[in-house]
Amino acid sequence: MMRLDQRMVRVISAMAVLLFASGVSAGDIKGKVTAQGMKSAENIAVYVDAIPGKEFPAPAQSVMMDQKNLKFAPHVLVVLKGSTVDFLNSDSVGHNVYWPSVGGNKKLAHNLGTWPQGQKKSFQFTDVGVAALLCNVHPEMSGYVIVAPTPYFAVTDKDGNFDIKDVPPGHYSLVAWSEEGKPTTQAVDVAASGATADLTVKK
Amino acid sequence: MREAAKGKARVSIQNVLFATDLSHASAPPIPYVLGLAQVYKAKIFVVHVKTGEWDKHQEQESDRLKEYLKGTPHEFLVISGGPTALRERGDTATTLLGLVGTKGIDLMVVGTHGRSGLGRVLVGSVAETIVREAPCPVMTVGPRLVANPKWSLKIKEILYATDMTRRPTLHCSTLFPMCSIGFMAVPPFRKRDESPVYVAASIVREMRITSPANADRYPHDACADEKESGPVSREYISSSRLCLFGSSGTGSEKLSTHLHESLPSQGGTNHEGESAMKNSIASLSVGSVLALTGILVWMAMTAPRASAIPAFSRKYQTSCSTCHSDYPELNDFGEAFKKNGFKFPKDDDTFVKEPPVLLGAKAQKEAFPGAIFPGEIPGYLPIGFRYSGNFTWTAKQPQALQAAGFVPQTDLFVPNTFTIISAGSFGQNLAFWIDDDISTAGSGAGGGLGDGYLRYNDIGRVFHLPKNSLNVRFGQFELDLPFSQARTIYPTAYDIYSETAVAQPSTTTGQTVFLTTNNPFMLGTPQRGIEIGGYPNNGNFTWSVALVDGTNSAYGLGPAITARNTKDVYVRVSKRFDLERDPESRNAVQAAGPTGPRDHTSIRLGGFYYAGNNQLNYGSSQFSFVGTITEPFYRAGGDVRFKYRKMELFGLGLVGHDNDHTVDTELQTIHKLPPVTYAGGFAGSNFWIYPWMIAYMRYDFVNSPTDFANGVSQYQTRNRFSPGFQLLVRANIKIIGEYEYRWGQPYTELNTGKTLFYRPNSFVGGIDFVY
Repeated sequence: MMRLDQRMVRVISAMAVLLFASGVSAGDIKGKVTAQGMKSAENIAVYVDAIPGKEFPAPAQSVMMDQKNLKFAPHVLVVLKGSTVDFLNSDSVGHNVYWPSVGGNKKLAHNLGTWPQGQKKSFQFTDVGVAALLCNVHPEMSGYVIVAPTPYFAVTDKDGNFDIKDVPPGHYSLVAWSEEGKPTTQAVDVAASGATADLTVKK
Repeated sequence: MREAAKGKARVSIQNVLFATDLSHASAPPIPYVLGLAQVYKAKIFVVHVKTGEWDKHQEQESDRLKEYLKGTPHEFLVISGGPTALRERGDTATTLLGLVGTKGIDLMVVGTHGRSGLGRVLVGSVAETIVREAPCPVMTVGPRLVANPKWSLKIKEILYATDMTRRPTLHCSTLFPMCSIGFMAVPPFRKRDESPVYVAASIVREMRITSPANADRYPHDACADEKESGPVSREYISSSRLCLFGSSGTGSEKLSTHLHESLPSQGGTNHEGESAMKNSIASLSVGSVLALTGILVWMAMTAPRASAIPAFSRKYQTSCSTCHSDYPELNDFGEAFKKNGFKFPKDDDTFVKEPPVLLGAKAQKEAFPGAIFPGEIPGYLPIGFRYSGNFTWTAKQPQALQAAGFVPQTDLFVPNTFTIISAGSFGQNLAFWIDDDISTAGSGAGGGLGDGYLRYNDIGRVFHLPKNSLNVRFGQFELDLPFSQARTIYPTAYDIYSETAVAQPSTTTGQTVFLTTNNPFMLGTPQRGIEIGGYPNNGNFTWSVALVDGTNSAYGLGPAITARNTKDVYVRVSKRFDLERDPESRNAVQAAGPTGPRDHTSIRLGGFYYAGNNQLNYGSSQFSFVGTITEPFYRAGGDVRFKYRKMELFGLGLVGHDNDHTVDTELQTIHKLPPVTYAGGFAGSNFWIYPWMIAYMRYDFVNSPTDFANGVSQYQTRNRFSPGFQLLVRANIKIIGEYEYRWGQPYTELNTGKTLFYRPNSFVGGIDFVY
């Protein structure tokens, strides 16, 4: 009888945990990234690393990356693995988008060709990693698409502040990726009310 | 007002009038007309006001229109309009407006040509008149929209533009057309706070809004709060569904960040009114999205990074390879940039990263002539520097030639030049270019001004000619040659450009007979004068006529000669046949390729003619018995250039012809002789193995009987074969190499007196960098 009770308690608490984990109550991970030896802490992608045993479905909504005034906008875009990114050309000049690799894998290099002003081309990123966006016509252009394994991510503002919304409670590993610096990882415990995490990124 | 948010549309459109002149400008509106008719189950009245006989395009357009309209309730009306040009426009507009009443039109759709400037003032705009005077809403669709009539209509993003400085009651206003939709449908915003909505109307250049004169027919009360005299609050906007707003559209709004958050996302599902609207609009992707996302994106952009780059690179913060396929050779975009007066072909202002310094506010134009006409100068001094230094190896000279003129077998860094280049634009139409080799010392270096000119672009606008069909430039400049000598990628000149006409030596003993022709004029040197020319039709046709001094300007390439009384004329025409299959590629500045934009596959054919009068014996100084001897001469030729993907093939041929005389000082007579002629040219190819590795070969030939008679070459034709390579170590640094296999040059062996031949083959290698 006792064992049955214990098991019941365990099952119920497991269910409770599952209920919580399914996002019934979720918090934000807020924090600041300090950049050492780099010009600014802006445009640093902070995301929650892969959670073992958890797969996230590809979002139905596509995300946009624009080319305007000979620049990729936004400069850094983080998407969930499986997302479709719409590359829009807002300039009255010819543009091109290609990346030489995704996460260092040259086999995943891809060239989207050319398309006129006002139109867009879409691509679904099914592999985790960083894709450096380049333009064949304007070699100085650069942008980044970071394909993250989880939907919990944010990009830092001018001062290095970030705010990852709606993260269910749990123990995670937070990754900070920056263009100039080395990637940093930091463990974070998220409670129902959220968490704060401050990271340092070095060159 | 609240009822408006739920359920059916307050606006009903039963009859749509589509006014078309059956030109290319009338194609963009078609999908919108069809889409709107489908959505509102409206009848389409297609009206064409005929002002003359239809040309082939108009016939085709009319057939095509009838095809598209099959299955849709419509009426195709062709009405005769008035006779003269100006009155035509007035009559057309009046005729169309008249129909609004008789047919009970609820919405007019017109295409616009997007004319601007004096052309618009002189000829006017039908669309503008209609918008201003229509008793019903008007939708204008500009020429830059690309939409396929086979698509179905889905409006995803709509820009609401208002200056918010007065009540948005429905009154007429117009802005000059450039492109895009002037269709005002306001999606409901999520209510956040009461702060008004601002839109950066300055960035949105194409808003056309109009209003019905009989306003009671339309629920404008739902859209505007009659009681409030200030900005319309968000609440009203959120509760209305379809409004046609009027606004004076001034350009000084700021974008509120709230706007971004409150606009429905592309999926747009969470608004009651919105979903109803979504259901009632069938699907079509709008080709040209208004600047809204651009505005937001523009504001979110990070600060540009600085890097060392020459004048235009600095001005636009872009790489050299944006314009140069192998500097200084230009790619299609660079050609378009140059032809546009050193400005981006479209929307130059948005790309300039260094703001120019205004020498007068724009409004000073109105104060003229009471004030100096306003202009601008580049923000930062537009200067670039170029250094090129070559190492040469020449086949060893025989003794006899060493005595005559020693050339070392190897010479490190000759020629060796430092050039300063300054170019840019002084506003809308004025462009300038100055370059000078300022290293006047140093072995083999030529010094002196290369180009120095001011150009007025597109002066043809004033005469209502097509864009860029008439430009003028004054100063010193290289002639509009088929292949530029000044901006060549090759380390050596084209032999034919350096050819001069010199008469063969006298055959009579003694110095009593002179053959006069001694024309040191070289085609490849800069000339001084005035040139008018144009590049209409996207540069597919080019023409130029120049009036020049005909003196070789000091450039180290030829002896400077004094100006003559008579001036020389140079004419050039060329036609580029664009061989791109895809029409969109053909009409764009650069063609679309699988790995990005590239040059058009094309073949350019051209011809040129230079005519002048060489003169000698001014004031009878040389021969007292005869006055100034005038010897007309001409150079005429043709050229071809074929571009395909990574390869370029080119060739040029020309003939030179100089009148010749013989002067006998003993007999004191002068006779005309057969002219001194020569012919020659070159052919070659360039191949881009990688964007940074270019391989080429070139063949030059010059056939000059008089040169042969003067002992310059072994045969009448001097040939040269030069293969070479260029490596772009960086976008602004080159390493080059060229081997030249030259013609045989006769010389007399010192000891034996035999005539032998020497080939001064050479290898040139070097570095070239610009910044």
